[in-house]
Amino acid sequence: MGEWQNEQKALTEEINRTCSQPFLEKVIGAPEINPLRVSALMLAFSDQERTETHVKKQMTAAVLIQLALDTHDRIEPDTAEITQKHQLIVLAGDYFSGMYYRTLAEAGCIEYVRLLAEAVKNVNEMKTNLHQKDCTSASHIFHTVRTIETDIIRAVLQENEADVQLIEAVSSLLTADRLKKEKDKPSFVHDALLHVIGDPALVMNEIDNHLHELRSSILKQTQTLEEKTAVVLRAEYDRIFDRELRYAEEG
Amino acid sequence: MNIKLIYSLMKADIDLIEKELESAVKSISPVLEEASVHLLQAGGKRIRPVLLLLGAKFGEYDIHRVKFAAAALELIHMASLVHDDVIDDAVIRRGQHTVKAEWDNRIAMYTGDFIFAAALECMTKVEDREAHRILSHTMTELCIGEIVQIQDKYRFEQNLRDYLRRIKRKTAILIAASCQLGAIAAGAPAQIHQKLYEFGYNVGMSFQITDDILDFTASEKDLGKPAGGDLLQGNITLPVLYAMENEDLKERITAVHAHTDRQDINQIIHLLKQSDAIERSHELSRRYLDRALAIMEELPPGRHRNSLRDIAYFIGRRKY
Repeated sequence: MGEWQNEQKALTEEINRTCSQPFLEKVIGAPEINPLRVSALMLAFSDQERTETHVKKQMTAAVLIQLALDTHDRIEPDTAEITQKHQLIVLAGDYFSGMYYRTLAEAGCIEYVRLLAEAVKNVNEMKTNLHQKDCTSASHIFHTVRTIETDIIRAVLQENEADVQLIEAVSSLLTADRLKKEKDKPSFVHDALLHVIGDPALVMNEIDNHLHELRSSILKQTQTLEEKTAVVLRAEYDRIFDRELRYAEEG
Repeated sequence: MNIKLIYSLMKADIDLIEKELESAVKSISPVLEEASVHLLQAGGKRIRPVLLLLGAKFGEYDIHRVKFAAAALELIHMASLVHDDVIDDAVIRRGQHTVKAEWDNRIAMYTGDFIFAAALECMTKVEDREAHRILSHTMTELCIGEIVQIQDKYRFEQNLRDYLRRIKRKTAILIAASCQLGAIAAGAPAQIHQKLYEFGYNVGMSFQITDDILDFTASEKDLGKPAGGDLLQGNITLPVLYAMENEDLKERITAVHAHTDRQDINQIIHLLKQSDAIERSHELSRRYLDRALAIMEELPPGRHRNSLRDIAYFIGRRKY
């Protein structure tokens, strides 16, 4: 596990180096790379493949494009006043997008550009549906959130013919991670649920119920996976679900 | 040959690119498709695809091979416009409501990201590593250009070099890449596509300087907004840099901030126009244009070379 964490740390540092822009960081802060996404991408490749330069570039690019989309989610639907920060958030997302293309173009991985571009289109279609309140039920919303959170990583996992259980476990973890964050800080998923359910207390119940379902399915999905993969996923599971417990332990 | 005739001679190929654009933005999301089509129909001169097609004529021209690069370039331009409107909080562009005004900021962000992905999907049909390397560098430089523009706002101590480097990133390299990518996609030799890049770069510099002059000299009707908007927003352009060589004007200009009165801005515009700032800016724009035309002379002669020359004149000497 220590070796895995070192590799994860090295990859995260490489991604940070690739998208580093001093003025952006000064005004809007350093990009927050979700360690779960890095882990999930690493699981898409074998230990041997991950030592190859072009694979590192493929993983870097997938994180960068996700970062671009997540950054653009920080833009509020309406702005009373244009601030420098607001302007730079738009440009930061565009810059990370550009770096995803540049990273793959320099490595000659043009097929990967297409693979990820298709996923990006799909994610934006789903985000638009959610934002426009086109989802008609809570389950429709959760399904849409799953697509938004996982399509880029699913594309990479599927391209590498990963085990279906692994794809589903990673997807459930990423969805759970999103819903946990939504509970901490309600955002557009909460808004979409509220639109369908109507009562804020029931929205939180619905999220809790879905998280409970996700917990069960992740545990089932990881049972059939090889031990090395299962250990990584269980660690992510503990990080997501035992967050409150860990916070309590750490005081 | 005038610009309309050039377009009419290329109409069949431009129509093919239009079809490619429409097909690229097809979506299962009605809002995304509507917003994208809204942008497509707002038109624009399609100057980048046209330059790309003319560049391709220096190689083995096959519209079915180069149309993907042309469409990708226009889509990237469109995606950047829809995000620029969020940056500038713009309500109107080319006489129509912007996506952010018609829907909201979020839909504009999603539309831009969707179109950007559609552009790259389209571009992957071009199987040339060099083309991808050039386009991806162009895109990141374009972004850095915009970031630096924000960083440099109201920084009145900046110099000519800062300005030229900024407009190179912001405008010139996309025009340069447009000319070069067509030639690469059509398999033209390196010495030809590199010359086309240099030609495009100089045309682009001339274009942006002219644009910056027009912000002071064109009418509100032609600009679609009051004159002097760049200065009010803190963008230090070439006419301003030249004007600041006059101590009195410098004092007035360096006092400008986001909430400066319209009357004060009008007074500065009046004084700037009375100085030699506009003429000197025109002179530098002309020098870039002349350089572009000289580079063009080094390219193989033919009708497409003449068309590039006419477009260069059109871009460099436009009145609004």
